[in-house]
Amino acid sequence: MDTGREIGNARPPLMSGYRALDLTDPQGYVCGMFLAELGFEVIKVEKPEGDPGRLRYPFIGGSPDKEKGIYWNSYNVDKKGITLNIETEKGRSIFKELVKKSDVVIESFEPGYLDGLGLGYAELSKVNPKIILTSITPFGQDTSRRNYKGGELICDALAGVMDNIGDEDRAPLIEPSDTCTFYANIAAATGTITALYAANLQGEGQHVDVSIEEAAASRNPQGEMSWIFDRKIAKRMGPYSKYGIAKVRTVWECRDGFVNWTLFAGRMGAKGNAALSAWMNEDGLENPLNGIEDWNNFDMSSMTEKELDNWEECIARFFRNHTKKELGEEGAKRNLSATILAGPDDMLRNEHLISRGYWTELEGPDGTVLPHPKYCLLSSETENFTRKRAPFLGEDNDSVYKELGIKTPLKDLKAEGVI
Amino acid sequence: MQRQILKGIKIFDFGWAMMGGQATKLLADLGADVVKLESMTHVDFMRTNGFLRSCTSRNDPNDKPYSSWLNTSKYGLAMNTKHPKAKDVIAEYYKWADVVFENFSPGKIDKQGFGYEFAKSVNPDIVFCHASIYGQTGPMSRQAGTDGMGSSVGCHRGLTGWPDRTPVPNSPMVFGDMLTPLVCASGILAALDYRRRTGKGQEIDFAMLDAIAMKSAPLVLDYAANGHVTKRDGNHVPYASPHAAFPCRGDDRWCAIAVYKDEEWQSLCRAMGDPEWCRKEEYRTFEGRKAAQDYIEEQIGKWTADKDPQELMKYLQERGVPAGAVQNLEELIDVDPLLKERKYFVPLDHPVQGVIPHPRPPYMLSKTPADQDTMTAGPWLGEDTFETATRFAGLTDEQFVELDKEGLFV
Repeated sequence: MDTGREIGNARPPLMSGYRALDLTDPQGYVCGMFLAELGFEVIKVEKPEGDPGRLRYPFIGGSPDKEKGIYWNSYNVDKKGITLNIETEKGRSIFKELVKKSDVVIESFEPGYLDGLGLGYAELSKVNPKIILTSITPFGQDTSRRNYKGGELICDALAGVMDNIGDEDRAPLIEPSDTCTFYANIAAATGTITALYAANLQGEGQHVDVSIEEAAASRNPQGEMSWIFDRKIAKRMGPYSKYGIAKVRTVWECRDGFVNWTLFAGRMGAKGNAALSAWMNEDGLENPLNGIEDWNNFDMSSMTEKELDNWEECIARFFRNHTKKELGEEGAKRNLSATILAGPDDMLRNEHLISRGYWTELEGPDGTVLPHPKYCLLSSETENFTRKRAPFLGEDNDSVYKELGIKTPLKDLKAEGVI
Repeated sequence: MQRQILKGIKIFDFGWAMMGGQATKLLADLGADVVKLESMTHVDFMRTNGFLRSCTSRNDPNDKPYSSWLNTSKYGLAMNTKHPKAKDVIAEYYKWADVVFENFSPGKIDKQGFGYEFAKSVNPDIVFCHASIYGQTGPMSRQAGTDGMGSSVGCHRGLTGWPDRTPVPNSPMVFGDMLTPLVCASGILAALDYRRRTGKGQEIDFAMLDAIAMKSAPLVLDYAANGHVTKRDGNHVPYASPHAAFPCRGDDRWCAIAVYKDEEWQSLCRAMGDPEWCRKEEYRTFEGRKAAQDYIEEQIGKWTADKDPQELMKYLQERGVPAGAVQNLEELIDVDPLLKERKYFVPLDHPVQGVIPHPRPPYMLSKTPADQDTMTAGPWLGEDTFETATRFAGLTDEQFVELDKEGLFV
């Protein structure tokens, strides 16, 4: 399809013309970033001293610096930045002026905090009946645990995520780079766009309430069905996965890393299994898969544990014999269905992503050029691309407050600690 | 406010498996009219997956909660797309629809003759959506894929695990299979809004790898700026310490404890009774704790070992320390108050199994929540064939009967 990647800035994004005010801390950055990619003008509203998430480790160059946080710079791209102290009366009244001219407010404070300031949904909707308030919190707005302290690890633990991951003889594990928080943020963006779609037609906004624990739990339908209907609980089992009754290895060591490959039964595994068997023969390795002729009707549920162990041992020998590059590139030609377990370095070198124009280069906070994901979807009509680095502290105060028509000079507001 | 807020959106849905089911379910649960096309000649494997031994049979496509969970609130249409008259009827559905959604292997929908060019020829401003693992273009696009494969290429699976052991999968959980549908649902609504304002339709390419890779932005930035290649590191993260699951009383019982801020460390020390070992000056800062994290976590583990994880969580939370019991799915579903209080599972009348719980979308809208009033159980195969063919595709009763006799609607 023609995605218009070569045409430069010719095409607009899907949602230009909408504005979101982003009050979040690190557990809510991604929602606004996603809306910004789709074309929203997203204004990150920080305390005058800066969002504490700016100081989250690690940093570009290594040492703590408000403008160089890697987390900050990754997930706040395409946002404008202003400072505003909503804990002052003047700050609150300026905030309400902003709300009048916005479509969405995103926040991740402890439930009740905004109500306490007189900036909860009830108050904001008086100022702008169409406003959508989106809250991203560990345990939701109205639950008995809403004031518990959260964080990725705590939500993962409670949501049943960790119980499924890891080796049986060690502690349960989390996934990398705050997976559940990220996922909850995309859920929050979806809820926001859904509410906005309705507000445009019905003239009324609402409060979108996302719980990170609930979002994390929503990723496990198979596990939840197993408990609800079969009263069975899948336990963590290292590099293995369970498909039906069969427990099969999914992660294999190769010469210079690891690959993902699964012995599937039936049509699902037919091509990959046949390709593996043929390649094992070419390598001259012991190959117990050799006897199978009809892979479409292959079913390992009739195999004994001893047979499966022997298969695993021989297959493991094959993978250890090859590099990631061979298994990825030559394997693709052979329909092996093996994929490398990529690290960040592999991702940046991935030819498929490069050919799709996935990485874009943005000027970093220190002036060097750094890679960022460019899009989350490609379209024949619109360009939903990342175009600007994360904002410096208060970078857009002048232009945003000017547009708002704030009469008090900014230097006075600064002196009063409002911005 | 009208409860079914997406009422009026019309989607013709070739979606199958988990990603294809979930993407349009998110819209159907809030009122969109979604016609899910299936066929007895090629059954969605969510209808053949017999992993629930207690309530599913090998051969009945209608007794699978899996299929119902992923296709709530949709209409069911059974039609053999290889039938010579299928194209004419699909054209009528395309004229009716605002959106076409498909997640076959890239290229297949065009090969079948039902792609964007055909759709545009009968409905010029249609929004035509593809979803796949790697996207419609690029060298990997034609490779078949699964959630696990997207997670592997997308820098997710390889970073899950202990440094001295093999990386581990997250199954039976999924990531891309549920993340991509959220991006699809957002993109579809955004494209409909764009059409409302400009009159223009479009073709959209949603890829699981693009969505997963977005999460890895900080890891890629750290590598590009600092040359640092993040590796799997158990439960450790660069921004908090201590940060781990600690052993508790009982068989395989654990409690997660995280210290994000220096004052939380002080609270944890007080909660442990200020033992000698934690009084070191260096531990007052994140850097100091991070440098000694293995020792610190070993000491905390000794303190937690004889405690119940739920009681420990409560005790620590009351003292300002982020803590969470590592719950299994029985505790999450039957004991934990969160999903119950938020009415995450909605009891719906399943065609074969009666009233069973179904999940709603993972967000709550205060005025128009997805619930029993907006959701229905997933359709049985072909449940609404007649209704959708006559009401949406505009066939007369006679035309329907004729085509049915010719074997189209199976």
